[in-house]
Amino acid sequence: MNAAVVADAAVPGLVPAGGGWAICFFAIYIAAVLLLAWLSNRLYRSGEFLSEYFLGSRSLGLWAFALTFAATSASGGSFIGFPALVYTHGWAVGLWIGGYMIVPIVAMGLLGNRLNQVARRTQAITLPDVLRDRFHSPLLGTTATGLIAFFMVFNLVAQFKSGSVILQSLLQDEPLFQQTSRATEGLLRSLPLTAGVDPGYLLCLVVFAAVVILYTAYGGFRAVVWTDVMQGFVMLGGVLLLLPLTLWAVGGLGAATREMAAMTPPDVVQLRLSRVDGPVDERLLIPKNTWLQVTGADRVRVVRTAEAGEIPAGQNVAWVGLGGDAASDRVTGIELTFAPHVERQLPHCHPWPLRVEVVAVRPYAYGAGRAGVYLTAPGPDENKWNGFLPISLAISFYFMWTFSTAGQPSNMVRLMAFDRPRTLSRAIFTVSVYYTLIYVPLLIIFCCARVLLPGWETEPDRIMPEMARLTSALANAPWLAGLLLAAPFAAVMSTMDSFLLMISSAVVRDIYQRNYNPEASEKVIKRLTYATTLLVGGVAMLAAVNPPKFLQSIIVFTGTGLSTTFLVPVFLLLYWPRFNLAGALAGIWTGVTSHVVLYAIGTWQHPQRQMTAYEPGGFHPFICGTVLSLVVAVAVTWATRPPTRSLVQAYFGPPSLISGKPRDADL
Amino acid sequence: MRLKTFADDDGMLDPAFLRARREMLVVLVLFGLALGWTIGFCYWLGYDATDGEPSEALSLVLGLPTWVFVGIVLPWLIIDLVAIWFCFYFLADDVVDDEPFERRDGRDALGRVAGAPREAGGPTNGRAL
Repeated sequence: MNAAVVADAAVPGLVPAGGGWAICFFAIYIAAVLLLAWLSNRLYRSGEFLSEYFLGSRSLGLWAFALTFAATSASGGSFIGFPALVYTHGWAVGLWIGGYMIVPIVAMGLLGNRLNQVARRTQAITLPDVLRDRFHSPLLGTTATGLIAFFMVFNLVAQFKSGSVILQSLLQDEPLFQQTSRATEGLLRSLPLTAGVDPGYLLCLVVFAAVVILYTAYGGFRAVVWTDVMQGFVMLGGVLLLLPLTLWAVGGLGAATREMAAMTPPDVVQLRLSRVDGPVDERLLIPKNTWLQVTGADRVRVVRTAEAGEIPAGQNVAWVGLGGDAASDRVTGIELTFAPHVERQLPHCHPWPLRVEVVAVRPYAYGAGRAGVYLTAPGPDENKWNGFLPISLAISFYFMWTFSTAGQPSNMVRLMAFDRPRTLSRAIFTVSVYYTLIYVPLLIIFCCARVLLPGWETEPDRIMPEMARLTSALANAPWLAGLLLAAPFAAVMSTMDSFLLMISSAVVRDIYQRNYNPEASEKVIKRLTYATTLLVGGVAMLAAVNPPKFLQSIIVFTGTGLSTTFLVPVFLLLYWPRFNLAGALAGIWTGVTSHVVLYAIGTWQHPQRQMTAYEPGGFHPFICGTVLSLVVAVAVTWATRPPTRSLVQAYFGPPSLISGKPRDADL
Repeated sequence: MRLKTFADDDGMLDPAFLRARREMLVVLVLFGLALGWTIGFCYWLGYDATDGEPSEALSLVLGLPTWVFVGIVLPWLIIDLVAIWFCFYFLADDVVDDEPFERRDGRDALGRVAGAPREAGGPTNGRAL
């Protein structure tokens, strides 16, 4: 027997991906993205280069503005992490995501019209431009630039990795992809940087990064926006196709919910796997996600491995982590506790003569053995005794989704770019409907996934690809899987391109042009911009070859860090005439410091020094940092001198005072 | 003291700013209402207070658990309706006195508006472009 045989038989009942369709759609998709970049590059032959390249000449119309906003906010998390959460914790996740119902109104309406007005008055192109001009302070501008670059570079590396991981999981079963990655393996081994890196991952990283860097560098803001629009439609199309397929497969939502009401969470188990017929001649792999039946139990017990085990040649017991310090003969897995699922998965159990023993059982910390726990809040949780979403956490997330979206510099830049107020108001409505059509169906689809595909608690991040395959196979349309899988991929790309552009605009505009060489010719600026975008992208890609661990924590840390830093100062400088430079600096630094300190404490307290947030009173660092930043910014402003009258007038006075032109007072 | 008079006197403030400020306050009120509704209903109906026998309380609306429908899906749909009012009837539509700041002909609008602030030590502007 050999390992390959086991691997093939390991996932019986699973439908193979539809012969090359995923690659086919991926290729079409890439071609379309590059075409859009080429088109938008042609557009800025005329007109001001910087304003066009970084801001699309402030001319975004309704669809471009609405969908670039929606697509940038929906990252890979919306299509991989969120489905995984719904699958694992049930309907309670609806409350977790609930804040999104008001996100468009708050994130676009809170600052929108005012930020656009101010940016127009000063001809600002970047967010640091706004901060700097509002107080005539290069110091403030540079501080903002530095902080944006700091957070975003980390974020970019993490996003590159998550994009490649998604791409890899979508392509891993395609023969063409497997051949290519095997072919590159030898080359990789010979290079010092890439030795020990999974060739499949590296291949995905290079393809993915090359595409994103190319179209962003070549096409600038307009290319990013246009591809966002396309990506927005791809995501929406994917979800709206998947919903009816799922409901049909499950026999109606009512039936699915009633079945969920009877479900009980699985137990986490430690397994000991041994060959009944003595030592093996050849190394034997027992892959992750293998279904097994427990031997010699008084009732039928079905378990599934959550990590890969290996029986070395000449032995008969499976090990995990062989060769490392933590090698163990206990394989972690889960045990189904819901009788209908046990019955259904029994035929899928692996037929090899393995003796399967459960040596330890750890029930869920909340919800074990309780039917109906998937239907109610706070939702079952493997580790937390008070469930997935205690009410304090629910409130915390409601605030966090809305206000951290409002505070994202990449979103603020978009608010500076729409053409007129009518566009903003239409866009708020469009994005509201868009989010309704994305998040409510996703919630329904992945609750149904609990019924259709039990046992993916072992690897919940794969539930989206698995659902795409299952439903398209049931509908007898394998090409559908390719289309459905483009959605998460589009989500990652649309977030990354705007971050990449933010960084290069920070370098070229905020550092070089405004501090060193205000008189630089357009030609120089243009070359520098292309070079910077390529360079930043290239460095981030190299850093992602050996990426940092704890990907999702880094993405959350940097994303909320940016909002904690900028939401309060930008809000106050837009709406409060008395606000001054000292207050702005104090607000920014209070935000950053409290955020970083709370994360440092959390990480230090974590047993494995994993990046975690310390949450005083159950509130996320974003909320603590924002409140603190508000208090300090206001206090420092009152304690220091008010801004000059001319400065206040320049930003809050009516245009008639500035231009001397008569106006129609409509208030 | 003169500054305070300036900031307090709405007549001395840009009407566009006053409009934006009013919109911002309405946004905050809408957020508060949405938060109150969702958290209120979900806490009342959704949290598993019976501790052990929740399946008896199983009630569905359109196949969704009742608390999900009342606490999340329903307000979500209502907010979409409110967004129609907010976006099409409340928010400023194209406003005449924003005109000087718009770039209609591709020319730098600043030429028309930035004279005064610059004399008064106003913002360095995008002229370097």
